[in-house]
Amino acid sequence: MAGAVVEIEGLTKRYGDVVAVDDLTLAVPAGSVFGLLGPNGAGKTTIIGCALGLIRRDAGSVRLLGREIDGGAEEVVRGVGATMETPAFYPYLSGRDNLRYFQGIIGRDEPAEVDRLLELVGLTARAGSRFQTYSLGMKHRLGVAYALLGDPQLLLLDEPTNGLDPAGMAEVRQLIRRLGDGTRTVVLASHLLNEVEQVCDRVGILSRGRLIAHGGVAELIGRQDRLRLRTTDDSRAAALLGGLDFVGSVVADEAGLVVAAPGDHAAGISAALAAQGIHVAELRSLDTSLEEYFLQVTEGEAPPSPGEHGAGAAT
Amino acid sequence: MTGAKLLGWEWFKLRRRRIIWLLVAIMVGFSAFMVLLRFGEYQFKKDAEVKDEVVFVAGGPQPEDDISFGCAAFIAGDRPELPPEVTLGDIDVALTSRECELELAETEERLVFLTEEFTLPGAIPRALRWTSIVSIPLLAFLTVLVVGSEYTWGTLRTTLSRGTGRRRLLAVKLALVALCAAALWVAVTVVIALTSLLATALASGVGHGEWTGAAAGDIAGDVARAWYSTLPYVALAALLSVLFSAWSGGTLAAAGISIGYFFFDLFSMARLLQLFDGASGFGWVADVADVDLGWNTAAWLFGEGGEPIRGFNLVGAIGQATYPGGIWSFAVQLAYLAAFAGAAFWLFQRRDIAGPTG
Repeated sequence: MAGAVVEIEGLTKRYGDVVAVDDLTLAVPAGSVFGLLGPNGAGKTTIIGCALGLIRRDAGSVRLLGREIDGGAEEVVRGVGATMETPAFYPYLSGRDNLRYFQGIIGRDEPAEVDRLLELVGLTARAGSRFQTYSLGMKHRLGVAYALLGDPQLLLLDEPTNGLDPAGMAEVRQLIRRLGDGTRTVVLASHLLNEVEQVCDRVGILSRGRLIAHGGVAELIGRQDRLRLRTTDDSRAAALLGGLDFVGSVVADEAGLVVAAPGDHAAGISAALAAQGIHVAELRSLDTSLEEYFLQVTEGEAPPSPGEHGAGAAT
Repeated sequence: MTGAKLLGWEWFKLRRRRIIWLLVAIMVGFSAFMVLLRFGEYQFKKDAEVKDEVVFVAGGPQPEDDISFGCAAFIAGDRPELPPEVTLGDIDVALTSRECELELAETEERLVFLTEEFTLPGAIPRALRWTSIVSIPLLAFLTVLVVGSEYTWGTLRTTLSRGTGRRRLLAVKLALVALCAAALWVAVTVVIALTSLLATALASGVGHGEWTGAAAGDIAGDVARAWYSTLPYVALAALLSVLFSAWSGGTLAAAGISIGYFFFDLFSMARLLQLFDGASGFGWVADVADVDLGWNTAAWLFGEGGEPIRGFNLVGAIGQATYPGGIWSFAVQLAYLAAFAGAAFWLFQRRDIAGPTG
């Protein structure tokens, strides 16, 4: 795909009988912050590991920055900044020496860049302290600095805020957002829905190793039109609305009914009920968060339509 | 990024680990100790020669009535002061003199041997061989630290995430251990030489042996020999580190097995050879020994003109068995090195790299 910096096609990875990633096809366009969203065990880390050549694929291909990683993974991966889960560094080295080492192994020896990155992530004051004395938040920030070594055009960040306190999370999220503002592409793997919603332009939702939905965040949320309805006779109203063409589903809950239907059909619903002598006490559009959408698609309440969602190609 | 640069960065990391310097201190300390041990034994023997040789007095009323008297003095005609109930006639002067002469000859021979053990140039090959017994497992442990700790901390994933390349990274790590081993053997040699100079200065009436170009060449050969004997165990430690990488505690297991294997193999084969020496139907034990790493390592270090491993009674334990030849031992060690290193690279290339296991 033209303009895509990450192109994964038919990726499959099995651990014994467990399929961690199942025939995944995904493309991440350049210059965006792309969220790879899924619960723990959905396959996010495995996908990043496969992309970096750390985990062997059972099937499929991966292209990063327009180049196949097979047969020259080192060259390709050198231009990618990545962190995987909790950042792992040498505990007996200082933050600065850790960065100097990792800068060195990518063929650079520029102490000024190390100092600049330490400042960017707010670690200048503790740069000389051993990594083992860092708090979890500091470790994550050092991880981000590590990923930025060499100014890579593609960042793969796996759970970069895992274990951070709310202030630390906000700080790292702002940093990620800033990093994705220019031409750089950021892939953010996370199980935190609000994080992806806040930070990402586009999102791919994973469940049990399969990509079950993808698209722009706003687009995905907006697609889920639902209405909150309370009437003088909810059971009759549910039966009536279930027969209308533009109503997808009607679910009763303790607050009344949730009607899956586009918001611009609210008047039609009201008229149909009134015609049957059912009076509307409340009819309003339900705001859908990414979290609600995620729960729907992962629990099968609102399965994605085949053309837009599913395990097929995603951009 | 060239291999040499990567090697430099690996050293940047390694030299900041305190435990590395502890291993160095143990190695050089042990080598100095071996020289000083021989020096101490020499001093003890020398002093014993003049004052504490026992002359058995026949007819003494109790065994504790034996008289201690210096053999050298006895041969020179001095006689001990005897308790009243023992007469000089109870001593067979001729027999005692002969025993004393034998004793003195044996002591003299031992003193010559000990002198060679702590004076230059003989001190160097001898102490190097002894130091190998400690240094080979220490260098195997160093390998586990260099390779296995990366799995424990999860830093292998961080390193490979930046496109370092698996084969190249492992090759550089093994090269680093091999270079460190070479440097350590040189340092150990220098420490042995300095300790020998000190001991010789302290021992009165003892000088260094003849120092020739050939002796210097022999020392270089001995250093190379000691270094070469470590390489198969370094490769084994690397293989075990990779093999156990998925386990928490895998690094500890790799270190334990590497070191345990070295000692077990080295000494158990000698015992087996002794046990089945000449026993019908057990000729295969000698055949196994011929291709056994520990036995060939011992042969490589001690077999060709080397002194028997007296303290461990290794050679003394094997009855009629003989060490394999030098070329054979070299080839067997090379085969083990190739097999262990090849398996380590193969596994390292294929295994998925997970997060921290420690």
